[in-house]
Amino acid sequence: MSEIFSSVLVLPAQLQRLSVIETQIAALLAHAPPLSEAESLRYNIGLATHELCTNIILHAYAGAPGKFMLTLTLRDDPWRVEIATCDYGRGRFAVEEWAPPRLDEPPAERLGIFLMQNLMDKVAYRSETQCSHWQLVKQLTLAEGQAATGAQQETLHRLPPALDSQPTLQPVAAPGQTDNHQPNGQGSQHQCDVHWLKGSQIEESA
Amino acid sequence: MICTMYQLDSAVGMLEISGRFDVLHLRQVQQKFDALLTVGVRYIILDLAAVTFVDSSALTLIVRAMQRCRERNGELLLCGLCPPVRIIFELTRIEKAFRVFDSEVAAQAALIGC
Repeated sequence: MSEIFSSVLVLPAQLQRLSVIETQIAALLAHAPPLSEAESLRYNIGLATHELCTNIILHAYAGAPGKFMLTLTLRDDPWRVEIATCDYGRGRFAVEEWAPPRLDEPPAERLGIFLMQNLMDKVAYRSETQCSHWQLVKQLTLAEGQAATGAQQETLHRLPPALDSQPTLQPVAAPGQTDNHQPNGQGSQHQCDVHWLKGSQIEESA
Repeated sequence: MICTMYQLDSAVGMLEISGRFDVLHLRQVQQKFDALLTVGVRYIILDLAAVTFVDSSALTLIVRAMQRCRERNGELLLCGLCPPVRIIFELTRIEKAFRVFDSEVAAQAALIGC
């Protein structure tokens, strides 16, 4: 796996600045080979990233001034997009209190994370003493006729279940961060709670 | 984002939105919904044909607007959903709560007699 393209944005916690996401995602994907359903893919990654950043602005900062870091990375072998954020907002995501929206009637709340979970292959949240980290990953499917390496072909068989499945929150300690980790940060050098909201860690990114 | 409001008759109105329909533009759209309901409109056609992006905040607004129309024995109809936007409606199963039409002409025709 190698990094093909990466961009790092430091965004003020202002909704007006979210419009840059769309162009940044398009610029990132422009470095990928031809992709299957490229338009939908660009829209879905853009929407998931938009929902993530909106949550950070509205809930982590909640009107307070501040900035957060948004990192967009394109990797190959297998081809995938990774979205990572780091914010210093005071609001923390309460994993235990979150539940997916009921879909037996038109949902009018909790749709943001629901969309992130259903549009992306992996959604992870990590809370530290001073900051919160989110990570979203989307595996890319190459357009027909594009050569896929063995690793890429394997990835295609590991795609997540159908979009209409109801995701659940399963707090799991992240591999690589479990050595000193105890629930609620007890026993660790610094408080760090990791939750995989969807998917599992494939490998630790840089 | 541009949101234009039309009153088609005493009970029927239409909102035509273009561009990004997201958290940044909720207030503008909400005000237009409120204005139509205030003058007695019960049936609202929401024309999204020129909408390029819809987020969860917009979906929430649409669901709540539908509920307010139904409280008035009316209905919120959707039309002109482009494929990426339609996928989001389907994913959240929100489209099941609405009548969805290809065009505002078809939506208006469905309201004849209301």
